[in-house]
Amino acid sequence: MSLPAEATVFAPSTSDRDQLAVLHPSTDLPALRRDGPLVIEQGKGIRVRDEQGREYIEGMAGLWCTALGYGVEELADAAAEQIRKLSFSHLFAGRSHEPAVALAEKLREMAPIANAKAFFGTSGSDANDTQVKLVWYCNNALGRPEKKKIISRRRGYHGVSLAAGSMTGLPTFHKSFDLPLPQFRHVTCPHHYRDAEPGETEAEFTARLAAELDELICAEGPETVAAFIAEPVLGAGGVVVPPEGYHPAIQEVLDEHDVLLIDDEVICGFGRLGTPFGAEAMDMKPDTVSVAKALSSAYLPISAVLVPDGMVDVIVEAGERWGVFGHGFTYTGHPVCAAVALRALELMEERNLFAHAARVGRYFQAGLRRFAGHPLVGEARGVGLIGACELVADKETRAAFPVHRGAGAYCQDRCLDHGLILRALGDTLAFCPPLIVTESDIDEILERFGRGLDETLAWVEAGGGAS
Amino acid sequence: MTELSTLSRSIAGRTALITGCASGMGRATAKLFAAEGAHVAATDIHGEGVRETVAEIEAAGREAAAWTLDVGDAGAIRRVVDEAAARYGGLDILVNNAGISRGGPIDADEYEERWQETVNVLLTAHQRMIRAALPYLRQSDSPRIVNIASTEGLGATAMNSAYSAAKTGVIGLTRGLAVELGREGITVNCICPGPIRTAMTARIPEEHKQIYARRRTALRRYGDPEEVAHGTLHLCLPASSFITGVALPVDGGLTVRRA
Repeated sequence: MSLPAEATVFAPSTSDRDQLAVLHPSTDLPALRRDGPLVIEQGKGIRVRDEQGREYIEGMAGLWCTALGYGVEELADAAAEQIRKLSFSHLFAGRSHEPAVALAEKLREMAPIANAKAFFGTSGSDANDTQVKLVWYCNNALGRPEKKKIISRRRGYHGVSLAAGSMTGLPTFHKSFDLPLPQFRHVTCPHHYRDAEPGETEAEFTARLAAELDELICAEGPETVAAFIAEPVLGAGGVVVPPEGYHPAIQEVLDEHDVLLIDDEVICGFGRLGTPFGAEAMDMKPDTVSVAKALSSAYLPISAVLVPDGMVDVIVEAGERWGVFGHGFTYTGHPVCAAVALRALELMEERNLFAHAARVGRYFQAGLRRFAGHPLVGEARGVGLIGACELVADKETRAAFPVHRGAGAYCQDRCLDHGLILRALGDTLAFCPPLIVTESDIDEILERFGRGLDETLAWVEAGGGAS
Repeated sequence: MTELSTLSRSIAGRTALITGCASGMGRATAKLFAAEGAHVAATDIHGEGVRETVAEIEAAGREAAAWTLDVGDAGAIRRVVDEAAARYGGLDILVNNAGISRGGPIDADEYEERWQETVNVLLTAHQRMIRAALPYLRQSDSPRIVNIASTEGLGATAMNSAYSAAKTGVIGLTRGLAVELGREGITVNCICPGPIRTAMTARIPEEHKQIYARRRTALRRYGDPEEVAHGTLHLCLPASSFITGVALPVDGGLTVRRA
């Protein structure tokens, strides 16, 4: 990795300037004002450097997204080439361009649903908002305007825009924002460790959740429920892998009530679970799919909603009556983003990345499970190259630490001291390294985590954060 | 007045050799010293710039002469010092001002090269200038040496270690020679400029200068080169005869401000 640019004496740090000019997303803002930001300046492979030149392993792939790692020349070239050729054109009102078409073809070939057409956006949030709008539009077109409610899971994460944020099942994203909107419902998170009744087996737990969903749909009236949205493995909600048989059981309920399954593959898509899509690993049979993040390996913002031909036909036919299909973004199918995403998908194929992720993912999971015996770890969980360790105050009773104690945040900071970026989701430490990670990289990640975890244990035992 | 004060606050008629006079603090110092009536031997690696400085001084009816001098060149130092002393019949004041800024992290490939260049210009050149000027200073009745160090010699900014090391060295050199030359009545002091509007800080955008100054300095602003020149002048006055071995921050309160 090349080194940071020459520092300038008597110039404010980026951190100083940040405080004056930036409003940060998804951030504890008072803490930021107190502590200042960590300014990342460069990245290469799985490692990044901050403005002081300190190196870290990016154990979270940024925000679950930099699958191919940092500094991939081929992607820089793809962007530069497309910018020189056609920096912008759009897909509105009959326009088209090669990069968007080629990417849509590639997604049609890869998608976990048959005969998919792609509607492009720039983020997972807008993709999931688009999902809701398409479902509503289709149900209006099909003459069932009552069928609009969307069901998601508590602790599910689907984004922050108005519809996506409503589907997200985390209080932080609702409180004080007047969300969720009225058409949205939430059911129990499929987390056996946290949400099962005492003594309840995984099979019993799954059956209970399927029954809960069925009861909710019946109570609301199946004619009012349009879709159920799920991540194959819940990400920001704490890396929750549903029990085996969960998705088939849910699917049965959805089929019975003619409720669509929207598969949110924003985190799980493109190899994260060791399969091309999370749906394959988790035995899901989705109707529509949202992808983003690893779609371009986060080199440029791009997302896509994949919908089957049949659904598109409904929309097209409605156009005969309603005129223009009034949904789309300036940057829908942005040619530079599309060209880079296509190149990213090609590189994933050329490098056999999904098979690699499956192989090192097994190694990672085995390593992660070894922390299950640690006095602070209630559960070590995950699949493929996504995982988590949930810290608890009492392993026997599974009692969590009081929120104000900040045990997860403390552990996250100690890992940072040891050059490892992880993310504390409450007291759950999440891992999601770039898919290019090797077995020796994984050893290094887990070794650094182990040190941070032991320091956290010492801090807990000394009563840290307890006042 | 003479009954109230005995020591002179004038450098009129004295000869000052000042390095790095093409711009910034060196130019401001040359102009101030000339305005105060000194004969100024002005040097800089940039010949055109230093000639401009001298032209401005001459246009104001004051006395100065320009030499092109790379202070990294030991032979050139001796020649220029001798020529300047010959022109004005001696030397009373030496101001080691010329400097460069070469930042970069410790593990940079080019660090070794930057270190050598930095130490050579910022530190080694100071002792060479002093050694060359010493025979002339010893003939003066108020010999003064002022080295321009930096607040980077008192604290440090990341990725600027060669510069910081050299400036810290300048403070050490100042102290060592203050003690060593004290018995001869030669005072040796240094100035530690903070954020000043010079060529070194020219590429920092104005808005960033303001952010920095508001957050870090007591006076909440960047300084001007002339404000540093007045600090240097003070240490060169005959009246400053009992001040030696000090490192005087001229930094708007940068080094004293905690929060």
